[in-house]
Amino acid sequence: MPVQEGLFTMPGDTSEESELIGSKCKVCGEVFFPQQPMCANCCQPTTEEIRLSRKGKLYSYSAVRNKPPGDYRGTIPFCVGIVELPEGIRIPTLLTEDDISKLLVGMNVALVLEVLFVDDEGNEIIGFKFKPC
Amino acid sequence: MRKVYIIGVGMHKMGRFPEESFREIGREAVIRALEDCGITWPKIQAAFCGTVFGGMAAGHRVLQWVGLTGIPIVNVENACASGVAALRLAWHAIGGGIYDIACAVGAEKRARGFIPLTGQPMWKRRAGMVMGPAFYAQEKALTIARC
Repeated sequence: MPVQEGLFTMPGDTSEESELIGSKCKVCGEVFFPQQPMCANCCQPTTEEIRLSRKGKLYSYSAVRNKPPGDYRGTIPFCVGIVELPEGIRIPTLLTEDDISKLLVGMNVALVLEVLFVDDEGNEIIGFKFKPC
Repeated sequence: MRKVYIIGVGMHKMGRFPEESFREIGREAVIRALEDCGITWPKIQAAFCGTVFGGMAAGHRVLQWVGLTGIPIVNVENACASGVAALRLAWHAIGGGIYDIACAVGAEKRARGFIPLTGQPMWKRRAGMVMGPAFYAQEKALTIARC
């Protein structure tokens, strides 16, 4: 099950591959992720749901070598980054690559879904990541 | 808006003090500030306390051992800017003519380790996307990449 409903579609839902679900303001064109009902610029409920591009560029990244506070149950080290999508939005994200030496600012990346961890009831909790391609 | 002046400052040393409680740490800062300006607590007309993890009624607990004079006390949480926010509230209140003299205090006491970013949504916490230093490191990576 997804780590959070409404963040992305599962493969086969609305298209063959999964897509991130964002919002775009009908008036000013600003794009938001995750989706939100109000446009932060217009301060009005003028957003509509959009699907974001699956491919983008790695804007920046960092390796996390210590267990983050809270409920993290994945492996360490892991990498996080910011991905710039053609819609003109930059999204903080997990990366599939654990080895920071393999990452480069500006490299092409693509959306993937991965199991983040298995919860206490045995459910696979699925999240999104971006993978260098 | 009236001019507002900071007339006294006091501080507890920064560090780990396992033998001191949150309210003892905050209280010392207030006592030192009062000594700095030579004013006694009964003259203070309002107090504002900034803290993130100090818990319910943090300012009330700190000031209970300074003096119980029935003044309004407001607690404010503003992440890393909580202390500044307490100062800002005191500044507005005095500048706006509601009080002539107020106290702004801040205190924190927490466990070792990374700060839990409880302001972030649960899915980000479960995904591990809440490592504060990782955010700042990404800004640095950009700076380096641009060199």
